[in-house]
Amino acid sequence: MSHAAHRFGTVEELRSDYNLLVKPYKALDDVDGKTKEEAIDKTEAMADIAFENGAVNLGRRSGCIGRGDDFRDIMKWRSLQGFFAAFSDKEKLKKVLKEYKKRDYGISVVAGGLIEEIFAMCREIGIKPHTILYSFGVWGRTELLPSEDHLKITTLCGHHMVSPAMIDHYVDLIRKEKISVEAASRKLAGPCVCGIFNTDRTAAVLTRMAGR
Amino acid sequence: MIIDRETCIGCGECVFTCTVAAIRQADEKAAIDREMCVECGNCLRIAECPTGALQQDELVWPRVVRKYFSDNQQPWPKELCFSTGYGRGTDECKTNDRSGRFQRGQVGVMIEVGRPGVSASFRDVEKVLQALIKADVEFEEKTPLTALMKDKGKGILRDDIRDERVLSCIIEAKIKKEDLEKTIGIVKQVATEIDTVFSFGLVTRLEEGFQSPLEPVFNAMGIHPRPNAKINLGLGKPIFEA
Repeated sequence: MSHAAHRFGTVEELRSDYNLLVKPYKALDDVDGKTKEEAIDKTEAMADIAFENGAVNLGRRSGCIGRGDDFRDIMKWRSLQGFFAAFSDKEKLKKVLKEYKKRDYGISVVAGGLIEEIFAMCREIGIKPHTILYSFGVWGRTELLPSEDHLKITTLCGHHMVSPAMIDHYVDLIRKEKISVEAASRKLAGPCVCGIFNTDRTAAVLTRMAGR
Repeated sequence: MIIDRETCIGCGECVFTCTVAAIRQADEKAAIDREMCVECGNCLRIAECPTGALQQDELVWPRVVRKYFSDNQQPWPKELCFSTGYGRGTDECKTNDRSGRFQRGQVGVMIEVGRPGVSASFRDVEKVLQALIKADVEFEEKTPLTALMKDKGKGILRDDIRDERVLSCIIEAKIKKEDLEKTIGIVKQVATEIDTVFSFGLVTRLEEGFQSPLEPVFNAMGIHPRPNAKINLGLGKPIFEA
């Protein structure tokens, strides 16, 4: 689970945080060499569209642009793993989805973010969403969780590889003016290779935490 | 993961990288709490230990299970036959338009035990599994967790992994829509019985594009999903039809 449904934040904050997942389905896309190559080509074309339309992060196991990896290098990996991307501007995501709909690639596409906003863009483009994964938040011993601000950053990583202590470390460095907010945000994207980590949102939370 | 005390200079560069706060400074050296360490490998990748004191020791069964679940860079070994490739779960709703994993009248139950960031022992995972059995769930076959069950019908895990800890572990199951209310009640109850947290999600197919068949149940129970969700847009082809 990429945990994309469980990102913390207020509705206002979530208005600037959307994510995208393009995912081939191995049972249909890995049946023979030709089909596999075609699915990989389509995935690459879809990644190009997301990149060209202003994804703030995009990646897969081979790296992510949010931490400074080169997009072309990331996409050199010929794999059916698909890719993740993050957007801060819903209009940019809408452009991407419009293009996907027009080009009709036939690869599964998942969008994460505010339900009302995603549904609105789907209506506008003419997309009928198929399946939804609702989040009911965190249950159990919630007193063990770090602060809301920490969670607004840690839940941006699909595998929870960004530690609360790492956030505190960079907040401290920002306060001491040893690193910029933007550079700290890229550092925090480092452990999250998938590319779903929104560096813009992270910068906004870091700015507040550092009292700047 | 281990830290060689002879070569550690106590710079602290690894301490803040730990996803579960298992690395501490003690006597001017870094030390790992091996019980809490989930073998995610984050410290080794991020910390740039200047003396090479931080090392990945050879992990053997059952401790290596920690790594398979917690380190997203670590593939599941094919010979163990758990192979979902990498990670903690399946494609769940991601490819549902093409796979038909969740069909009309079914609800997907997604419980990620230990998430976000608290970590979990398999004893807690087992408590949740055994609670879900009472809701007549059907556990997803292709998850690593299902492969580690000794008795799927009773939600019992292999004895040798029960004391291991992981960053998180995904329970994926399906129920009939008519069992949703009962299931949510069971999930609420087990949340009070575990020593960790879990993120809780439910999956459903949408009707006519935008209508959720689960909303009447949510409204009747007075529980409401968060405003953000993960949505399969139905752009895959061919669309699976039962």
